[in-house]
Amino acid sequence: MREAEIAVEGVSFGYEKGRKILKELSFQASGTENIGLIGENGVGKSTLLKLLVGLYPEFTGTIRIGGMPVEKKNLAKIRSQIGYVFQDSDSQLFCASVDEDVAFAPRNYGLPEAEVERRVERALAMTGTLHLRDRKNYSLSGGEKKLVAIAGILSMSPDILLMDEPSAALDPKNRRRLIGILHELPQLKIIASHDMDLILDTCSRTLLMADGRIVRDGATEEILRDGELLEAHGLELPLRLQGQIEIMSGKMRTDIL
Amino acid sequence: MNRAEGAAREISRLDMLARRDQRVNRIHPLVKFLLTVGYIAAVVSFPKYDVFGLLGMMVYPIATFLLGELSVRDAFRRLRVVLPLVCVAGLFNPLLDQNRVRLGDVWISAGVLSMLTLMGKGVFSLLASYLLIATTTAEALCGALSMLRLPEAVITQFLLTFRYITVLLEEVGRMTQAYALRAPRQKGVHRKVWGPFAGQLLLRSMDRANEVYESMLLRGFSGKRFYQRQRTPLCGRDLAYGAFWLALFALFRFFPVLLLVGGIFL
Amino acid sequence: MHMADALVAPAVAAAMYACSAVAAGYSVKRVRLEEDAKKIPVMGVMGAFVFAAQMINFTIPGTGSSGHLCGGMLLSALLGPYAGFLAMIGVLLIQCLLFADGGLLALGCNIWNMAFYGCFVGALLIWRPVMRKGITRARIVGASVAGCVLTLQMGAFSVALETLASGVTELPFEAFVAVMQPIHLAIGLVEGLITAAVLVFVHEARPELLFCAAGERETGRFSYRNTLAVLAAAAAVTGGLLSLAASSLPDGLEWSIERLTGSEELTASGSVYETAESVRTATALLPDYAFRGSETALGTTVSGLVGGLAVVCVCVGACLLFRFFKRGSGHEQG
Repeated sequence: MREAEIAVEGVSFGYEKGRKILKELSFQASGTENIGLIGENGVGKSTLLKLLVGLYPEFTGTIRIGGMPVEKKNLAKIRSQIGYVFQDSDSQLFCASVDEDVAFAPRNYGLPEAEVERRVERALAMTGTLHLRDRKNYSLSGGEKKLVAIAGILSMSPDILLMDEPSAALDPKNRRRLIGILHELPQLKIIASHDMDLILDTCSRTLLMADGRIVRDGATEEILRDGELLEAHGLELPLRLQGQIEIMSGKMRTDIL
Repeated sequence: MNRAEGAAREISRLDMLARRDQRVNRIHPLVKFLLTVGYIAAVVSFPKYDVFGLLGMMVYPIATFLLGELSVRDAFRRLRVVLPLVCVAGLFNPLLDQNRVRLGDVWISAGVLSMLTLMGKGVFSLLASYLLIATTTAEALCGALSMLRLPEAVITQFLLTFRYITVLLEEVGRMTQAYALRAPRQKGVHRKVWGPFAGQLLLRSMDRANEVYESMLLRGFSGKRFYQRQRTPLCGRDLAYGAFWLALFALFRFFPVLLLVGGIFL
Repeated sequence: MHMADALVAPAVAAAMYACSAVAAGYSVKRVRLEEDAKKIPVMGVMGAFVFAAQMINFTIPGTGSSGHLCGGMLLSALLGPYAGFLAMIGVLLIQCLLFADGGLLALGCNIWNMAFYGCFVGALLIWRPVMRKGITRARIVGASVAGCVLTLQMGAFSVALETLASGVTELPFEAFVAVMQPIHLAIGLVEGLITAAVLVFVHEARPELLFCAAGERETGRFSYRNTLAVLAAAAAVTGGLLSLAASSLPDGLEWSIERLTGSEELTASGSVYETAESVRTATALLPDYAFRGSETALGTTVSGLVGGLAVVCVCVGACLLFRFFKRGSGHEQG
């Protein structure tokens, strides 16, 4: 596998003039780690992920993926190395059937049909969805859609995976499956989520976004245990840690009732 | 169940029917498509008083329902949509066509005959197109259409619309339910929210179209290749099936088969 | 307004398929999807939107009934004429195939009656000229209502024309038109208001989505006058084809009546039937065939019914046998 690397330096971006969503944002990532990206609704997590794959070229600053700057002439190459899993699987599953959808990217990259076939099978196997192969996309359940959408990205064999709210709309069983898959996949991953427990379970490092910047970058355990920090940025402790910390501090929470 | 939910359910029902592994389902989609068009053309071309000639055309739907093991009741439910307009056009025939035809010792109105054929045409053509879609999936049909050299843009359009119809129907279904729960005495959407109700959905749909486009781009889409066509080659059995039915259509269209057969017995 | 197969004669259907195909071919050329690939998903999703939005019941104030959105005009206002037309074809194709809304043979007619008028007339003759000096709320309402009413009137008139040319109903053309036009005037007004409400909302929320929004005014060679000319030409061609189809229709009525009654004792008279008589001798395949037992009308009816019963029995029997043997052989193989 090639060296996966993301380098973001001083990136600013806004959809409308005068309203910047990202302000001089910088961070770096490489290797095969799982990185959690947290922050309030509307803080720009999805925007940041979309900038990394070059969907909005009008930013200032530099973004490099695998050493290549995100510019028009590199886009095709960059996009073959970096996969983006949309929050809403239906936006991604535009083909009629599952195997067509998973084969969409390899076919577009002009791979021979035998190789396409092999990749489709491997991607479906990795997400445990081989049995869904001949199904129609609209007949899938929410959880199945998400897993198939991930397979549709894995079939490109990307070095980097970006995931926008991967656990949204998943039932507990499918959520556990997703966590297993996230552990198994060898790619460098950035997982944007409000599911703090998912981040705690899967990510070794976490980026906390606020006010258009990365305000904290560190070990997940450290950031997600810092109740005050999270609260200051409109977030809450992972449910699993809530009990522990309250018991430790001997305080009863009555406000949940 | 509101209209949108009903429509979504109907789509998945038809799709399940089309996916069954029946003999008729396995016939090449192009053959079935052309047969259906040919059948409907033959049916509607019957002269307007030729009740018995038209009646003979029932062999195709009867045989296909039996061979495809389909429920006739489901098909007839669809007649509700079609029959009203046909009835309006046909019901006046008995009043306006005052010609009389002698039937033994009684005189009957020629208008009644033309009304009967018109309704017969309506029923038969509807059954034929139902039989097509209940034994052929939308994608297979698109493969057939692309073999007929339909422009790629139209086929892509059809498939994408088909794909997102279920997503949006579910959304409309949920919105309608949510509305109805809070406005129990209203039959539909109130005038004050006409714009916002459908407009919200429109904006969301546009956003969705945008995301779909983004996800296409991210997976290497460059505007050239889109859907992979299910182009299966025609085999001898498909051609034989088509030829058999075409010959039968011609026979029943040009010869008064029912009268000839009846004559044997009498 | 969806026409059923039973209402069109094959010649009319073919003529309208040809007209719609020309319009579709021209649209495919004009949208240039290769250059603007983004239109592909937009057209697809908006087609689905129109389909789904037509499932929403909008209450019409003062009446107990509800109206729906006008797809053609809405798509014209969002996508422009060419992309809108192609999107409408997708919608009509699905309505026809999956929901039996309009027949397969009549699809060409339906595309013309709804998509062509809705998109070409709606976008080029109404929406664009009205929005030439910028989009305002009042203009949106005016263009939507005028567009819906006009395109629906044209569509309804075409339905009447096509039915006339097909010769399936005894209803005089004038009566049919007199029924169709006022109904569709009312429908057009309601649909126009609903469509206007939606477009006004879009204008307030995301004005850039509308066709002809400031800045991206289409600078096509297709001027107002050209559009009118093309439309006039199309109307002439359609009219010509329709009249051709109408005059060449073999009206085999006389022949079949005779076959049914076994005589020519019709009370009808007049030149129509005299010409029909000559058509009859030309088209009759079995002119002197004497059916056994069919000397009387009752005899013909009975033999027709008996024949029908026999054919059904043979057909059902053959199918059941086929199924039985196929299954049997399947067992042996398995």
